[in-house]
Amino acid sequence: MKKGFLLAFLLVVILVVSSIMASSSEPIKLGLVGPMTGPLAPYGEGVRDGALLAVEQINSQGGINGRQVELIVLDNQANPQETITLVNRLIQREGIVGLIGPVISSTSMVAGPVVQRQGIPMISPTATAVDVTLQGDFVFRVCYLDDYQGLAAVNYAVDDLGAKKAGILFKVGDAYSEGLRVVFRDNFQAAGGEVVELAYNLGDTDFSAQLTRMKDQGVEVVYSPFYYEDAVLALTQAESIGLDAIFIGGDGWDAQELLDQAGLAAVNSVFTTHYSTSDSRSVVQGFLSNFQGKFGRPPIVLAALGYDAAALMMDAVERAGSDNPREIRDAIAATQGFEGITGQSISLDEDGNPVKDITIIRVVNVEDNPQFEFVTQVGY
Amino acid sequence: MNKHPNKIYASPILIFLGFAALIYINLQVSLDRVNFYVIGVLSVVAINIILTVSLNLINGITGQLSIGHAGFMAIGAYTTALFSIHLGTPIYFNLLVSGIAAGFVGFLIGLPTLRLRGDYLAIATLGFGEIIRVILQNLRFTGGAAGLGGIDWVDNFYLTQFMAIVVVIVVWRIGASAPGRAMVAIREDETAAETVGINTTKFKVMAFALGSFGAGIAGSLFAHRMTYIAPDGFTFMKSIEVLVMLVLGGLGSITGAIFSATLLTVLPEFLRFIDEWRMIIYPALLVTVMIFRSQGLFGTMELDFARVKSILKKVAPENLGPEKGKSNPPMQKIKALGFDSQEQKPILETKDLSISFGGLKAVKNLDMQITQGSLHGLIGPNGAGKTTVFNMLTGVHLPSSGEILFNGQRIDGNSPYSVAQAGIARTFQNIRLFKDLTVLDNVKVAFHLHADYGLGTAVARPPKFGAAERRITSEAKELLEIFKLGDHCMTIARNLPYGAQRRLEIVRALAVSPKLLLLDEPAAGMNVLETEKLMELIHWVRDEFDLTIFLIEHDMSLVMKLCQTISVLDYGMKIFEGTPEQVRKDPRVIEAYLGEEVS
Repeated sequence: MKKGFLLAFLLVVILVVSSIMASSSEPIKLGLVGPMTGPLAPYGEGVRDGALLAVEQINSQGGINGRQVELIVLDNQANPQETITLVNRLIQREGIVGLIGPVISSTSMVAGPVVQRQGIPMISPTATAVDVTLQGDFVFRVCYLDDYQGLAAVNYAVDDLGAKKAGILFKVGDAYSEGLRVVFRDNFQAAGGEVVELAYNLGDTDFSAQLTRMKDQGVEVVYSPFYYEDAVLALTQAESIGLDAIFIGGDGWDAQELLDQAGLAAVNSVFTTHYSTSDSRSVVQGFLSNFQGKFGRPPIVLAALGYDAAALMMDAVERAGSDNPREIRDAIAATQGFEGITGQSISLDEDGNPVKDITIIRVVNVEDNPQFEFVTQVGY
Repeated sequence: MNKHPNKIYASPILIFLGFAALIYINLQVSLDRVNFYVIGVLSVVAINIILTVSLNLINGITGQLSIGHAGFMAIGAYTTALFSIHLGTPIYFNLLVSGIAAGFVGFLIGLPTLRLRGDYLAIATLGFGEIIRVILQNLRFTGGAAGLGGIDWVDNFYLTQFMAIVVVIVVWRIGASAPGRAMVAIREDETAAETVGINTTKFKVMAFALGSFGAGIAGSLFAHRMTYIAPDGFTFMKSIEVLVMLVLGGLGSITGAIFSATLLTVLPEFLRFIDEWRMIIYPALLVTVMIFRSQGLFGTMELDFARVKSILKKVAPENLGPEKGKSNPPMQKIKALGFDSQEQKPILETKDLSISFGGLKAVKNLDMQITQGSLHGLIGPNGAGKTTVFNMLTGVHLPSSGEILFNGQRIDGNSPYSVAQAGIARTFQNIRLFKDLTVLDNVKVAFHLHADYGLGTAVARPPKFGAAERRITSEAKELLEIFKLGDHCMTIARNLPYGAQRRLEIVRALAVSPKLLLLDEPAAGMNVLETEKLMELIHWVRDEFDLTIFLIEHDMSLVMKLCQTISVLDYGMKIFEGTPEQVRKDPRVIEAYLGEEVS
């Protein structure tokens, strides 16, 4: 009798302990969707590595409320149709409680309605199209919108450079390029400036005709909303035809390759971006050295956004004190003064967009070597 | 491209397996046993089946290489997006208007481009596909490069699946009908198709518009599933993706299209655990299939429903033989006209007919009359312009000057198919059968003009359709029976012995119900015995079908014995015309044949 009681007691203890063990040891699952193969793979991989670093740091500190975090990464090749399938897979098959990504605006546009319907919060690290977060209250992002980036460029051109006449060189049919172009044009004109808009097509490598016309028109700044590959071409060609206007780029310029490939032709140009590597805050410097240590290379700018998206998501899980997706959503929405790499104090507005500073970087000549130099941070 | 028979029938077991899978999937879905993820993948499978099967109508069945399918899908998707966003119309309505919009644009684009052939057509369709995308990218009301969001979300697996089944059935039914046979004939040999009276432009445009209609439906379902669409979802690569599915399954095979669309959609999902490596497995699979089975997994093979039915009902599948006790309508019709050889009125007349190719005048000022009911021969040395005369008479070449009158009506300038419809049929010097079709289908294609039903009937299949098809089959079989080809009905034309191929070409020409039959060197490549038999045959055909026969022949003994009148052509000019005896004696003719005494 006594023996039987002891056995029963032991069984109960084992059951209780194991169930506690199970609930505390079962990881909190987060999903990440982005292009890991194909032409956009560098961006997807950057975001992934940033997010992995953030998850690793949390886990090494004992996880969230004692539970480890597992990040499940799936490759969508930047394809919208694939994205729907993958988000469904992550939610239904893997049981994620939050989604980081997708990386590209078009894929974020299709992922939004899916997470909204199934009640899983999503934080896009890098989708800049305005409509992304308007799809529902489960959709957030940590990058600023194209509007703010374009406006910051106009303010810098008008207030700091005193420009009256601006050229805009943009890529036809490219959502990023055309979006920034419109913002810059409208705001520059509203500030009393004159704008010369010239376009190029996907695959063009010779901008000298457009740049020569800008030179003839006497523009003081050239707004250049495109990625660094095209910026290298534009800068070197501008130098060779003797156009000495100041080039203003967007976050697409923020890559070491710009300096490596354009060389001194890049000197004096400025661009708006998410953070500066010379920022002395310990989060930033810690991120830079840890990233280099883990992956053996410096992070691209999107890696910082991937890191912030994952860190913000996990911060919200911790604040929610639960793995209920709805409570996590509420915690994300309530984010105030979160310290990230791309902002000392990030808050989310009612649309799910971040309120944070924009960083402006200038290329300077240090002993015949072009280098990035932090200029200023502007809030909005 | 088609070095394989047109119809090899797959095991009926495959059909049962397919249906079993379909029922199983639907049962699982209806019992809520599968999650969104799996249902989503199945919806993508269904959309890809619609795309592939509709492209099969253009590329596989009609043989026109189009690589711009994504452009038409984009039109469907954008039509749906605009209607859904601005008017909030339901998906059923959007499906219809999207299909119509894409089909209409396909019609507009098809009209000019389908005159091109092969590589040129491929480049043109590629261009149009891209133009559609670039236009969408630059129009303000389509949202430009940023695309359109806020489309009603309808991810209805049953509806998507239903649409896929409808598209498959429609394409299947078109394929097995008179219009479908006309399309297949165009794929096999466009020139031969024209000469049996098929308006190739019409059927190519029809196939193109219908295929585009299917792409529009797929685009509509796609838009409702995605809720957001942008032009970069419809690039050239999307067209290639669909083409790859089609080629992998086998150009021309609906079964293959369904199979490979399913495989290539589901496989990457299963391979996801090997990450980047799946990107290598996919192309490696394609390369392997293309090396070891270049005609695609299924070739042009289809599942054979007739065999399934025969197993179910225990009846022979092709039990479509001539119904006993009934007379043969076309032969009766022709006989009813009566034999009017007494009248000596010309059925065909050329006046001052000339044609030049560059500087070379191939035929000069030809005046000729062919008497109704006669057997008229055209002889001359090599390069005298005999086949050129045939080509002008049948509309293949446009004469530079002069007139051609058929039954008193001018037919010069008419296209080959309308000449054939008017009643002139021909055979070719180098046999031009539809080589990869069965003997029976070769003749049924030519009965195209007797099929008194259109596309709607072919798809809806009212009793009238069955009656018409039975009639065509029985007439074709009867005609083949007469020419002792009845036992070869199911033989692929290219496998027939040479003499039988010649005979089949004549049968095919007769199926057009001509009043005038042009034979281009019917005895070429035949031995003496075969020639002898052919001569009897030609005589018999002329009498039995009340025809006028105009033939080119090198074999002098054949011409001399067979023809009542002979025209002699040399250097494009008619140098003599008369009875065989007169021809044999004429010095000009002898000289033209290098002094050779004509036996």
